[in-house]
Amino acid sequence: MRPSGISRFPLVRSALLVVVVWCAASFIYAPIFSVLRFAFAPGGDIGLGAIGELAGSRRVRTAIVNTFVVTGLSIITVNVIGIFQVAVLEYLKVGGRGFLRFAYSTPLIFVSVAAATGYGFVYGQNGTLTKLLQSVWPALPNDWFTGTLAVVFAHTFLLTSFHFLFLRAAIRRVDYSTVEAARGLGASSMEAFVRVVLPVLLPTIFATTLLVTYKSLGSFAIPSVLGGRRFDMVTELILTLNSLRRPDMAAMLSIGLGLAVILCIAAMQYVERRGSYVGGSKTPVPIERIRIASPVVNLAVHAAAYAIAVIQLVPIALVVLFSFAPARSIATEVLPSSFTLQNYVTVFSQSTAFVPLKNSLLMGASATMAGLMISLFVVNLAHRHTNVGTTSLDLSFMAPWILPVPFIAIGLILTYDEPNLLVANRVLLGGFWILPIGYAVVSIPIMMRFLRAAFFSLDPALNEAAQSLGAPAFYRFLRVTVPLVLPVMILITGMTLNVILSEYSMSAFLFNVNNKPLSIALFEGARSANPEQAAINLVYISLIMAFSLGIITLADRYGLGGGK
Amino acid sequence: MIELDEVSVRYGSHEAVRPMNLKIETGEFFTLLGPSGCGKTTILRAIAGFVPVASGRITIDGRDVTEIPAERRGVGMVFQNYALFPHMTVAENVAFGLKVARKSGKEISLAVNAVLEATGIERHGRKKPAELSGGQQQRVAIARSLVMGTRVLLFDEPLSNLDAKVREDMRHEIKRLQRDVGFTSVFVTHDQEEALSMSDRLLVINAGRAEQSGTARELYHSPATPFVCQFVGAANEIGRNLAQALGLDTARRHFVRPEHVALAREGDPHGVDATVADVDYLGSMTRVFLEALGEPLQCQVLSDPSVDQLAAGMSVKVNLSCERILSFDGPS
Ligand SMILES: Nc1ncnc2c1ncn2[C@@H]1O[C@H](COP(=O)(O)OP(=O)(O)O)[C@@H](O)[C@H]1O
Ligand SMILES: [Mg+2]
Repeated sequence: MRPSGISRFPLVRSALLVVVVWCAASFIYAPIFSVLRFAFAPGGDIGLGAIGELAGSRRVRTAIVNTFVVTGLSIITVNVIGIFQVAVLEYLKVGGRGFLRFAYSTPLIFVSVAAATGYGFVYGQNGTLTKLLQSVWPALPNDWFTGTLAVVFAHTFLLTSFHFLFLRAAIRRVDYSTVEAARGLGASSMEAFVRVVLPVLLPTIFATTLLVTYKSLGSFAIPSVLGGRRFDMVTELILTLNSLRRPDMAAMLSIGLGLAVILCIAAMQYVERRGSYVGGSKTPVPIERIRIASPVVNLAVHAAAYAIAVIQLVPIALVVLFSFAPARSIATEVLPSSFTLQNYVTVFSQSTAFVPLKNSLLMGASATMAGLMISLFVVNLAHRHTNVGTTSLDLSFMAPWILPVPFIAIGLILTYDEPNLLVANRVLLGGFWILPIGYAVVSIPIMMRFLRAAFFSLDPALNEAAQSLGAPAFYRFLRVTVPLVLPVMILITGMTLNVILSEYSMSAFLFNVNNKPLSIALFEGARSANPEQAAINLVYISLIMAFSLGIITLADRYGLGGGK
Repeated sequence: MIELDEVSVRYGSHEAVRPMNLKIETGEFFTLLGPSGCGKTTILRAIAGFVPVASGRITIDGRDVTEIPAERRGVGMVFQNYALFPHMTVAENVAFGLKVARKSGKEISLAVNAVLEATGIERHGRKKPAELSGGQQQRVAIARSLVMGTRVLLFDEPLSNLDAKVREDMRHEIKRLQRDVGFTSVFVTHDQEEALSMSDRLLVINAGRAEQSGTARELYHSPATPFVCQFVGAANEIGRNLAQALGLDTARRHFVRPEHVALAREGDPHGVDATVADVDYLGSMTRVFLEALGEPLQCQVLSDPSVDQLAAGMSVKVNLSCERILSFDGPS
């Protein structure tokens, strides 16, 4: 009834459909199949031998224990910090709220390997903060910041972004009259928070907790950079097993990780569906911030609020400052004494420094474009015709959403490390394109979620109005539909590019000499003792943060703030 | 002239519109009236070409448009929420159809200015739709179709998003535009007062079936079915006891409008005994809820001092003149 623009050219549409189905078969189904095959039937015979070998390896057991310990501790610490931050920003009257909000929002732009490298820079061997701490406490060893401590510490201050986004939104929907009622019945502001506000927030807290669990279980960049050489978590171990030529064990372990992740997502969906307590009252009163009566408590809250802000801001500030400092000052000075643009000039002029940036931009742009085209095609098709075919196509491309990155990466490696008919009998592993393919596969589900929301929020009457004014299908698509979803398309392009620029997990599995991306350059730079290399790293991190900041500001302005 | 000849519409196995015949004259203000879910929007969308008909033919000015896609029917539609393009200014919205038709820039700006002026929104041409009030948005929606030279406009409950005062104004506004420009209007509403006050003729629809068409007066005074009788204006269904007392055929259904129930004093020799159950004072009118022979009966009379004395529990007599009783075949 509402023919799309493309449907008037059945040949073009059929050709596109064939390409999209081929993408799904080659880059989603084939890798999943490879993982299952190597895990359960490595030599051709079906068996569970890989599980026994995994269980028998001390290194594997330690990594699993580490992963659970880190995740358990992170859940507690992230919630403590995250809930406290939200209370400070939205429930309590605390001075300097604008500054605090800025500080608490930094985990949105300081992510993944960039953040890990940044923490390593300030807390590591020659880090400014390590030097500062040693001046107070000379017995502190140079490498104090490693292992579980370092990883949990970094998680604690880097994974609060979910609280900042979702819990803050939830507390704003709390009906303030319930707080007033509680206080009228004799509850103090703290009691009211604990007894009235928190229970209402509980579903959201649970959902953010699951997101933290999900992130922490799959954490890769942070333990790799900060954990030290003898500290493994599961994802890192999967990579190691793969490079030790034990694809069966790597595949099995990635299945285990996948099950844990699926469990998390299922629980999250359950919580989402159960819904939250919104609106007993028809006219909810917006939440108001409460002045803390006790001066002692007030002082303590202010002190804690600012301490957290400082912890979150200082690494970023030092990274940006030193990116403008002469390279030689990095290992020697606590704060830079002179400034220069030399490091930036180096990154953009010296080919070894520029190549990773160029690679990441090129791979990011091609993955984003391909992902956007596929998402647009699939979402548009499923929006227009709901049937078994379109629904399964839609679900196929959503599948990577519930699969952890190592699972897909191992799948791509096992499928394309030898000539494969699906890609004209070529070997993709070791080539340039395997990594952007991986980026695209994991980006598509997020793009599809946003695009689908945009398509469903389009008023069908607009299309019909245009039609009754005489506009043919393709004209309507170009002049009515596209302009209305364009802002979403531009934003998801930016957001995806942003994620890919500092993407570490997929990169670590699939990169090679032909396509070394920014994140891997950062990781390698963090391990080198050369101050020139450190300076280049700081420029990379600053550029990544600047890009993220731009994208997030845009997204915020257009009301699209952070999808999950 | 718009003609529907045995037109029916299906959604899957559900027949939303039963085979229906309808003639709408050129320049007429025609209303489809019926309860929500009865198929009014579906009929409108069939005329506009947004839903295919399951059977029958639709002709507009003698041209069979049954198989013609919506964009080539030359029928304008004013949607419930107006469906203005949010990314275009008012003038761009109005120019949209002309641009599609590849008119020259000069022609477009002349036509757009003329229609903006005719609809009284010339001052808002550069604004975006979101900056306009509901009433102004409606004018843009109408202007957008009129500029195309469209002489048939379909309105799908365009007033239901407005508050009472603006609604009243917009009714007159639509009527004025229709008189001035002379387009044919097919108007959908579930509000009988709106329908009665605006229409030249109306069609009452119930559960996908055409019940009766005619002028407001015809429908009110000579309803063809019990449904029309009750949906257009208020009506009492006369209960069995009362019907027997009045000597009516109890195999049929009988109705009487509240204003045709006459009250008399208790001692009056004519009429049926009744008790006042409740009294609603409505200003110029008073509504009296009665119980006659154990059956409820509503009566509406002009307020006057004798009526003011009525109170719950009082005994009165009621008179129903036979020629005011509306009778229909079928079991009571
Ligand atoms: N797109 C559709 N698909 C299936 N059923 C529909 C659709 N649109 C309307 N209906 C059904 O057709 C009937 C008439 O709907 P509609 O024409 O919208 O009624 P009205 O405008 O009088 O409220 C209703 O029972 C409605 O549920
Ligand atoms: Mg309707």
